[in-house]
Amino acid sequence: MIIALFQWWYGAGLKKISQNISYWPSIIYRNFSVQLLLKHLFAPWHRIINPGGRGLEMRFRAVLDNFVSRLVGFTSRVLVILTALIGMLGAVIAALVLLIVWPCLPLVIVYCLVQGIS
Amino acid sequence: MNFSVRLNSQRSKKARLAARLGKGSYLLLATLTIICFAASLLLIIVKSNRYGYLLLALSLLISMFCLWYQGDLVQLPIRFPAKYLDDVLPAAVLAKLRDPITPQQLWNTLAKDVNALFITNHLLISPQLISQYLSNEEHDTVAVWQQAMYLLGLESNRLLHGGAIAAALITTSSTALQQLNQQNISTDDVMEVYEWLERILIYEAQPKPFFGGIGRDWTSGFAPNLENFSQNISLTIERGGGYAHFLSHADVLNGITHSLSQGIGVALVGLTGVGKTSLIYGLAERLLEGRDKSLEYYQVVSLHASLILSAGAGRLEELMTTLLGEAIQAGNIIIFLDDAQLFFGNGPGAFDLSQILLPIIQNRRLKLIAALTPHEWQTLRANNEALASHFTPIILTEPTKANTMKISEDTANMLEAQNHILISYEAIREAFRLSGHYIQDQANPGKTIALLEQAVPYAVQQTLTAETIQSSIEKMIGVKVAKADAPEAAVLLHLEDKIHERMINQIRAVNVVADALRRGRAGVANPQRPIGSFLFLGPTGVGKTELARSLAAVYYGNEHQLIRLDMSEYQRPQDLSRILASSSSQEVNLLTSIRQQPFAVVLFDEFEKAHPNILNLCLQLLDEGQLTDESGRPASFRNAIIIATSNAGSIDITKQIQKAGNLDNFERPFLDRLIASGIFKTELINRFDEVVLFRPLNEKELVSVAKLMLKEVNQTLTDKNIRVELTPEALDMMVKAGYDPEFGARSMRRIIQKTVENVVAVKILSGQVTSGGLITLSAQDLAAATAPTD
Repeated sequence: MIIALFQWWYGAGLKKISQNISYWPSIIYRNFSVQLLLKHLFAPWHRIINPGGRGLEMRFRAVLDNFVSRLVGFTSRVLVILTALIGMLGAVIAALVLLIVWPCLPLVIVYCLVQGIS
Repeated sequence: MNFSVRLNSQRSKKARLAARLGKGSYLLLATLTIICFAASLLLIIVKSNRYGYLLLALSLLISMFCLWYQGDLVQLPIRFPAKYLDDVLPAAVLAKLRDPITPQQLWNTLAKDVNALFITNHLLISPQLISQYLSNEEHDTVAVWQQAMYLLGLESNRLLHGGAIAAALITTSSTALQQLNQQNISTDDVMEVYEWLERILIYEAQPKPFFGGIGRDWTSGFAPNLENFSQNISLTIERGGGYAHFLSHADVLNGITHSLSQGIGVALVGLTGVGKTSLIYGLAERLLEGRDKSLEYYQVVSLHASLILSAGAGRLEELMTTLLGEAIQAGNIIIFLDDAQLFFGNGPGAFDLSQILLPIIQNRRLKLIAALTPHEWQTLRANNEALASHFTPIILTEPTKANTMKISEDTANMLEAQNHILISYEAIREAFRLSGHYIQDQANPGKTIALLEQAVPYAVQQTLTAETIQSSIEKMIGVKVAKADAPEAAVLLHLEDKIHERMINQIRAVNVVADALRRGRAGVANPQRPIGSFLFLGPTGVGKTELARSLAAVYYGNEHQLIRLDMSEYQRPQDLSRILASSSSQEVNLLTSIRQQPFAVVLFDEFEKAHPNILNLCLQLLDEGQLTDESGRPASFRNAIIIATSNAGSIDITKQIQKAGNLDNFERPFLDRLIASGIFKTELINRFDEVVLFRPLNEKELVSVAKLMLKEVNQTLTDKNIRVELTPEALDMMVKAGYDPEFGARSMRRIIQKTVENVVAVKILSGQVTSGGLITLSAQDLAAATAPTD
């Protein structure tokens, strides 16, 4: 039984855990719509635009309104992209830690036993 | 692959270990891990005790074991490439197998397997019963394994699940199949249920669809008003509530997305129930998954006509302009007009949107899908060619029987989950069969699914069976489809006697009608034609109409189950449209009546007086068992008995009776004369199942008729607890007075009214008779009643 456990731990178990953690960054990337946000980075916020009108003042007003809409859109998107990047970085770090801890766990048990007995 | 199971393989051992440990042990160990871990930290950090390390080692060791249990023992992944059967068998089955492996033992290991239970539950078969009929010989198991692997697909590297093994065990056992045949379950039925299970397993194995993430809709505009007057189908799907089957029309999705991406509106044209709305759910899901780049993440929004109409009273145009404007401004909305005729001004509760829509569609600013029936599409094209030309029509046809069954089965899963019931395979098969027979104005798969949905409240012990479906449709449309119970069977078997309690003689006519009804009820009649169709010929007052009434009263329960048309009211060419008027018209006509009462006697009185065009229409009715109204909606007469009466040539019948005393060998020359004189066409006469000649009643029969009518009078007086009887002389006198060579027994009722009923009324009002009294009327009483008053 112990042999089967260790076979799985360093074989299929390690492979499975590696596969799972490799998906973490891409899951965050997808769920935060990073690609979509980058594609429309400067698009107006929820298509709120001022079509303008006749006269210089109206046109100037429209340019200003649309600039504000784009700025709001840009800021929101950048904030979400940054959050996603931080999340992805966290996921990569967590994955690396797990990848190191997993194979070392039996050694940690041995170390604890030695410490406990000595 | 080697078709043997190595019970000493590592995978087999793991399966047995997992079964021995069970879920309870796992939970215990997991709890122990947490306690040990917490205690170890306490000892190491707070107490600096070295035993803390021992506890930590123990907790880590147990946690390793728990991870192994969950990740390997319980799931027990298949070995790839599989060489032996134990490489692909599920853990629960593998754990229970013991040498020698026989079909019976294998079946018993599946007792708690959900996939095997799916097969047995949906076929309504008892696992214990099947077990008795399975072989106990080891060598018979090879055929089972071969069949199971064949079902799974020999090349596939998948888990050999319990459903495949159960189906293989049943289909390879001739004795089990024989037993199932007695329950009307064939090998094909087992295979059908197995395929149903396979579709579920494949669907569940698919990765969850991804719908774009949190920033998906940030580039689209807001539509606050539109949200109040519509249903966002995409949102419903996103929340997991919009599963819809569109298997039969998946191929047309490309056409729809192509037209929409070009800015061209789409008209989905198909009968009600054909799957138009389901297809739109399929489209919405496809767009949410972002598979079509030009329509990536577009939302499908269905407008509520009733909400718009109620809220927009007086400002409908303004409201619609706002809603459509929001849809255009949002930039990611496809408007779906379900029941689109309501928006184009056709039918009750409709309003005309075409003037607002036309410029928008012309400019290709709005992506629009309209769902219409073929007739509604034709009407739109006829009334508003300009608008219709901006739609690409996509015709949806009814799916095949196989696809309808698949769609119904998959939808049944959803109904099962929603209502916590089991829908058996036979129930779905019966729903398909009966919907085909009795629901003519809808298409499949909608009508089969509708029947299943309507049967849910009638589920017995949380299970829907064929009987449940039959009972449901009986209550829904008043037809009798279930096997006749004992009282009904008794009525059917003695139908002639029951009818003769109400009418005298005309034995042949009674026999042919009773035979037809028995054929129809037993399900041996042609289902594509009326149960029976008869032409009754004979003089007035001999019982032609009375037979139709008696049949309705005796078998169908009351005389109201009789749909009577006096054909003398249909003598003009334009009367044809009165018969074929659509259900939206105000007048109740033949077609609306038969839709309300499909299981009825239809009586065409004075048939020969109808206009020839109407008689030609009857050719179709008698041939195909259905007529189609002006709106293209069919009405079925396939559960009705058609009786046409006529007194054409009645003088000839009377003369023949006077001459020969009977009508033997008279029918054929008589009919030839009717045809030669142009009253009926040969093809019309030939369409009837039987042509029956009614002979005039003789004096003895008239006495019986008089007694029957007196019985009716006594029934009326039951409430007052008064009885009337006639002396023999009085009865004789009434028969003589009531008989008319021209009108037969028809004048008898008038005489009874004039004599018996009048005399009784006077006696009741004058107090000469009270409750419990008996009135005996003599010939003198009747003579006094009939005597002239002045």
